[in-house]
Amino acid sequence: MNKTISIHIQGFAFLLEEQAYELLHKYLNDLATVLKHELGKEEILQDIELRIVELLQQKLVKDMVIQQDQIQRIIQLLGTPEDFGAEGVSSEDPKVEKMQAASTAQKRFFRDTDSAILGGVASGVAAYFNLDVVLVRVGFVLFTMAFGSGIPLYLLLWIVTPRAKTASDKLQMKGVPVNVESIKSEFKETAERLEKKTKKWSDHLRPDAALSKSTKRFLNFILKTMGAVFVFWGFSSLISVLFFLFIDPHWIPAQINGEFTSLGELGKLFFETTQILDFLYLGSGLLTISIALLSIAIGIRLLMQLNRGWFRAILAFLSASAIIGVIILTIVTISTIKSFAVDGSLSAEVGTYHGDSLQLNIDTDVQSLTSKPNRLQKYSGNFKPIQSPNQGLLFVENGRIYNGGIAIEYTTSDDSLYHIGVEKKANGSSYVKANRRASHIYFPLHLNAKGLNFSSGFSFPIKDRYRDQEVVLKIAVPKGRVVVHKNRIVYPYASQDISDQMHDHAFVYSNGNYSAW
Amino acid sequence: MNIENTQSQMRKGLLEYCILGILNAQEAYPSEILDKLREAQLLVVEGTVYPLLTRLKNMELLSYRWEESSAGPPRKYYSLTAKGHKFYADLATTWNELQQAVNSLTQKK
Repeated sequence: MNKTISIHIQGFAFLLEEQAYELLHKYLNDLATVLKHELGKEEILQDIELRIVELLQQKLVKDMVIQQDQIQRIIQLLGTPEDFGAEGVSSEDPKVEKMQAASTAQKRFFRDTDSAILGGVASGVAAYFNLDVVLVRVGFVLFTMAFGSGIPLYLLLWIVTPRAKTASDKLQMKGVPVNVESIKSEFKETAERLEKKTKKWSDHLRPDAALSKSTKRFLNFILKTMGAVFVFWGFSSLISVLFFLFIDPHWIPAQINGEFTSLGELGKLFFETTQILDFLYLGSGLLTISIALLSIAIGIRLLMQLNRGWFRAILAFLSASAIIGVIILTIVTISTIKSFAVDGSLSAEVGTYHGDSLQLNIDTDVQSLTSKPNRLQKYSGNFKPIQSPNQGLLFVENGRIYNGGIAIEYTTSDDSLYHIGVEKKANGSSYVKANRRASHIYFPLHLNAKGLNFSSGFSFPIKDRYRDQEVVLKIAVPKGRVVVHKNRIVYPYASQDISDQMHDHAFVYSNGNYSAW
Repeated sequence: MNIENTQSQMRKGLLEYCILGILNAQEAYPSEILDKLREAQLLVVEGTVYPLLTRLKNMELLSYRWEESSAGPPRKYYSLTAKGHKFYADLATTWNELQQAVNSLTQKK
């Protein structure tokens, strides 16, 4: 059973088999291409169409459907497009001849939609570099899995590369010189391809260049495996995206009011307004979900046959939503970067200490830092190194964000006293905002006869958001004196080669560990 | 270059002169011209004739008129213009001279 198509040529109606129609349609298109430099091209084509009508009518029984072989016979009689080109172009016109000469063996990059899975980019690349198309496809998939660059690269090539439409396009795509023989054989191939199009899907994957059968089977197996990987990868990333955005994963090392939190809640500590956060949700949701769905769709396409029209529509839709996601994320990122633009810092001298060694007493009680302000004021400085049960990267309670870790900067004192100072740093969109944030940092520090008592972290109000707040403890050490932590001299660094091993910086981690660097 | 190619080139070269010759005798539509050329075994492929006719027409050597046909599509009847007649006469002279030259050359062997 075959589809028939009703057409009219120069006002005469005919009923054609679909394949016969496609062949005739292509023939006339190719003629138009070959004759495009000819003066009176329209007229010639009209004459030829009239002749076709005449020839069709001669053989025609009423209401009979015209078959493909009839069209082929007519084409044989009339001659291939190249016969027209050779005879039709006047030799007195050197310009035209030159153009033809230039267009011969030149190779051009086209998309080969005749043997395409998606847009024919891979088969186009294969034709251009004379590679096996399956290899190119495997390459695209590998690129996608390795760097994620395969998909955007493919889409870009899909958009910018023209489709090989006419016989001469297809020859240029393969780099075959455009001449009588090549156009003839291309023409024959097209007719054969039209027949093959109705064949099964497996033919679509057929490699074009010479590769042994087992290699082809192996490559096809790889393609199918990759299809399965794509589907699996797509599903798992879809699930993890939903998980990350909407569920509270307990392994995120952060707590709010004593409970583990979700990425969404963490975002609130970072972004100035909830609108920005909503946009972030929207953007990252669109991007990640559409990429996951894209991967599933491509995987399914590699695994089995899909209706190409549908598939393209899905691809276009998903790509568009991914691009919108990227745009939204870019806007959010830029606005967030702006809120980090300016550094602010406040310094204050805390006091001086007299003695042979300065003892560092580090308190790791996180709760004390985020307690209510009245309790904060009562903070007595009774430092006891307690391991906090709520050890985490971020800890939020009572409207304050706890940030673990204090930097220490050592310098040499000018006199015989230890000079202790604190620098509080924060970022903001303006100098005023950055400094206001820095002033909001709560970092308890007490200097008494026992030494320097301070906390292993600091806190600041949630409304300030996380803007790279930092505390730097500045200690100026008199010559010949030392700094001690847990009965160990930490400054100057106690090694044989003191002169070489001066450590001017140190860091105190939230768990109270001291490390010089 | 094989013999068939050479033969086809020779035929092609003479095609223009022959078409003018057919139309010099009487006006004709393309299918008639094609039939005559085919009888004389001068035809390579039909398609080549159409661009040639259009080109001769554009050179104002030919003109045409439309005529309805009971059997099929309307027909384009071509005939020589005054310029065409003169062109043909000139070509005929050249052809005769060439023919004699070629004959005298090839028969001396």
